[in-house]
Amino acid sequence: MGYSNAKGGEEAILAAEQLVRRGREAGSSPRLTLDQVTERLRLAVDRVMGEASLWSPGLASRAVRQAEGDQFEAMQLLRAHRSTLPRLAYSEPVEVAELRVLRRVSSAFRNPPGSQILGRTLDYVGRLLDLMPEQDHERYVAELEASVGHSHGHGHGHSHDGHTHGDHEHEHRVPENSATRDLVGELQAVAAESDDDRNPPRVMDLMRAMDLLVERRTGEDPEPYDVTRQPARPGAPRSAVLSMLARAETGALVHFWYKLRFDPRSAGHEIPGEVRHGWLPLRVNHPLTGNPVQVAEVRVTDVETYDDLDRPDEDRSRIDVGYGLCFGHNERKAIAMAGLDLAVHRDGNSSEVAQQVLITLDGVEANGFLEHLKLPHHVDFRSVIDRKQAIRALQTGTKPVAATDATPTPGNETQQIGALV
Amino acid sequence: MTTTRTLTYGETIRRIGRAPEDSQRDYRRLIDVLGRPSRIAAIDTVDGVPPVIILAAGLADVDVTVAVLDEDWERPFFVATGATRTDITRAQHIIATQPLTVDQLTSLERGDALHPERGARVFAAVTGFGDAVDGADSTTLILSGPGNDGEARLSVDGLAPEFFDALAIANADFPAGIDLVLVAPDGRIAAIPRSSRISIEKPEKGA
Amino acid sequence: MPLTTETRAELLAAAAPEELTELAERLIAAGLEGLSVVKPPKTGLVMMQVREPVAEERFFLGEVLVTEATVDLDGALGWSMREGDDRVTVLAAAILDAVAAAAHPAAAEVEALCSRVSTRREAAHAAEWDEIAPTVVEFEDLP
Repeated sequence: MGYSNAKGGEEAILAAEQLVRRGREAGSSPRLTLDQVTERLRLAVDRVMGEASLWSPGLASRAVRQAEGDQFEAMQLLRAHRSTLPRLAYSEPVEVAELRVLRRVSSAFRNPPGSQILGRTLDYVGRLLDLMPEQDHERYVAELEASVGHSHGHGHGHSHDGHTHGDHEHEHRVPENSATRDLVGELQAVAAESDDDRNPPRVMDLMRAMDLLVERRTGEDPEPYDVTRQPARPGAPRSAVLSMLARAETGALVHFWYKLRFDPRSAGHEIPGEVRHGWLPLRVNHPLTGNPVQVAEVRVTDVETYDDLDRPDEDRSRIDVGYGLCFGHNERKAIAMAGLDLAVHRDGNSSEVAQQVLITLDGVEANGFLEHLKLPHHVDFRSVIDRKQAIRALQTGTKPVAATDATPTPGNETQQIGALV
Repeated sequence: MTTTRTLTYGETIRRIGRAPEDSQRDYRRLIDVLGRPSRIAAIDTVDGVPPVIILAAGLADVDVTVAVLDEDWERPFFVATGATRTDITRAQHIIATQPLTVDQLTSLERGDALHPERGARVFAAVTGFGDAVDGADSTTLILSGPGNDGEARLSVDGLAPEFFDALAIANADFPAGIDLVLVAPDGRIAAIPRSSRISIEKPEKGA
Repeated sequence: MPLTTETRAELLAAAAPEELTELAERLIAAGLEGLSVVKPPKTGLVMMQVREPVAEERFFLGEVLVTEATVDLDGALGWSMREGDDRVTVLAAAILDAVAAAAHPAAAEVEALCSRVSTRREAAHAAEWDEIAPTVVEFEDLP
């Protein structure tokens, strides 16, 4: 045989681990505090929590720091840690209508009931790299704080801006179906009267009131599929799809959504009716009284997306809807999620789309398989070489050079390879 | 054996709660007797709490559906373990401090060939294992099947022969069926998995 | 008006760690007769169930890290569950919950603490909205 049993590498591995540990602390800069990570890299923390499927800004910031910014590593740390924790309870089911908005926009309606609330968003910010010298930063922050006082003229307690929308029932330049305008107007008026600026009515309610949607509600209440207990495979219910989408890697999701949209058969794209970022309550039943208690709040991004049904076997007089919801502020993810939820539904649950959604979008699955390529594949590779040489020999009519040939002739590549394996 | 609570509610919950080492130790003993159905092992007892409650508590958490057939122990059990409460026909674990009736036994979930794991597991309190000198209130079972080394005998006090007849019928459709764990007041345990075939030894005439 | 058990639990869950531990430690130092731990603080997960709006079916969004504890104050049980892994603070909250449940003389202090938390929370929500309100889009009439 061309290779012998060999032992070794243990010391090298230990040394490599040491190098990682020391490298993490190297350099002259102070250690990142967890506050710095949660406050200055909040979107990285949000993304890790979503992909790890674990809400804990404290643990997620630790993971981001330990992983030195590697998103996948951080997510893997959190997922691994999560597997060591006991499950204490299931929350009471929360309705998404309870979401207290920090931001709410709609591409489907210009002035949806409850208004467009831009919130804290980069959507309108120019992508200019900030080259401010480090020493100017303090003055910059001081100027920012000073300017805040000026714009706070009307801001005390509850803002009343929402109430003026009832007055805006004027003619829009954009041609609108009058029935739509009336209904939108009605709902806007209702929203304006309500004190609840933070829970604007959902576009889906409007769509249902206009009888435009496919009715997807069956009145049944199946138990949700738990992807943490058993892997979801095609044929799994929609709750499994939503769970897998919620924990999918953001980049993979966006890429996969884009790939689907590239399909020449699909005309155009879906339109998000709701993109929301805000707080959802976490309620559990009090162990002594049995009644629900809110024990925490979780920040989420939620999206409703609407698509024109245009396939021959679909009801073309209706619109269908997809839904996406994930931990943290991650609009790209929720928008792609909603689009894929709808795509899986339209294609049927056992389609290739469903399979890819359930299996290939998970970070641990995909990255894990990729990373395994770095494990020794020496035997595999040696057998590939052997096969190539056998084929070459057949083609040229010469005898293949066996690895056991002891003659150390120059150009005896096989023997040289033997030493490498 | 008294099954009524004499401790305060809080103290009861505290004593039912099992530390991981304790429940792991109990679990190993349970596995032991499930593997050899005529063997009798013992779990450590806790003052003031029936051993059947203790053993079942170590195996219950939020993902296990449990029915506790005892008004006194029901609430503290669920508060202590966080287990999911459900009725006897759907529970994975049933805890009986008093003898289960045949009707109750036949109403339990047995699972089916594709999903045998859905079959219920009963934790039943018994008064002993063939302890009475005159054999009163005792049923001697002849067990055959895996772990029984041909044929083995197990005497159970406090459960009527009809109960075991019903159990044999419930387990006739193996791998569907019901697993039975027996717990005496002093902490001794025995078990009859659904894989064991049960027949009842007739008492000798004139003994 | 006394708080319900649930509202009290909610407010203690939202309170700041320092205010909980400060009060609990002070009461313990003054002597809390008959206090025992029933379920020591345990960190774990709550699986968050959400009812999605399309088919109105439930799905599991993900898990939330929480810590939970139960104590007994002379027969009255106190319980707390809070987000995170801070065992000390949860124990303090459970103790304060028991103080209120037991109608202990210090119950009024616990109620006062809850009241402060409630006020602070409302103010925080209002301040949050104050920042967002200027970003609400108002359409102008074009001639």
